[in-house]
Amino acid sequence: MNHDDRNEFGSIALAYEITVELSPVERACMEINGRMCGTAAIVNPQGLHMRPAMAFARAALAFDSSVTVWLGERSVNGKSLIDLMLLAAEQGTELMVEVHGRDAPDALPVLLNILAATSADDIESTPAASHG
Amino acid sequence: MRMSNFVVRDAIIPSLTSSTKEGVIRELVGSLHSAGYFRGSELEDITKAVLRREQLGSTGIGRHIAIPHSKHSSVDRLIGTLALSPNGVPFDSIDGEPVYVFVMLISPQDRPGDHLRALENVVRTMKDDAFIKALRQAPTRDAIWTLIDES
Repeated sequence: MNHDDRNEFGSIALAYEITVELSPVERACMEINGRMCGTAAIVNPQGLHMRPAMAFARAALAFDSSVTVWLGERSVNGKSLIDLMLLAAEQGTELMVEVHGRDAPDALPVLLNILAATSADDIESTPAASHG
Repeated sequence: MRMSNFVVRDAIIPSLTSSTKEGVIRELVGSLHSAGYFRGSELEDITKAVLRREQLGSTGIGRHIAIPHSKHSSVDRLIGTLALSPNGVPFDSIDGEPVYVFVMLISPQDRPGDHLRALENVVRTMKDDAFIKALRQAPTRDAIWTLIDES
């Protein structure tokens, strides 16, 4: 290892770590094969209240993949209604969904659609919410 | 936001007498009325609004807890009450278990953020098993209020 790779704190500073600032979830998505991430903004004026949160948890439970929902640096289990309500995500909040598993490509669009619904009635009238 | 910000102390019910979903909701709405909220003429309308919300999907969130709620124009800030059932009530909960702890929320029409923060607060408080254990053993309105106020 070349001495010039060390910064003043003695740690290794690689060029790509300095130039690319990734969020934890983006790093996780890049590092592990089979993981997929997508973002959705809450447009429902009522926010992610109990009914859409329940629809999300139910849909997430129907997939084998693990589901994690990120709000900034916080993350919760997307299969838990209680965890989702802890986010208190209001209209305008951007959430990132991370899915990991065999059926991740199927799960991600279904889950993002639930978050992006304009009202809980819309979710309940689409086939996605009754998946599984 | 803390639970003591929106739970109406005088509307707390230490021991519900009803054993059905509708009965419990009537008791909860009635307790807020007795504590000085809502006109008598609004009682039935509010009760029906909460029952209609239950028909869209139970608010029994599991862990023996339910959070029945509705928006209603008769309140200008979010109010709520807390009630305990000694024997549990079938509530079509997400986990199929009977409910022993009820927190009812009635919100103004135009304050969705307050409703979300109250839900978050109730859920966060109720995730604490020791709190739930103490709550279910609390014998009086004052004992319940003390627990809420310190949570």
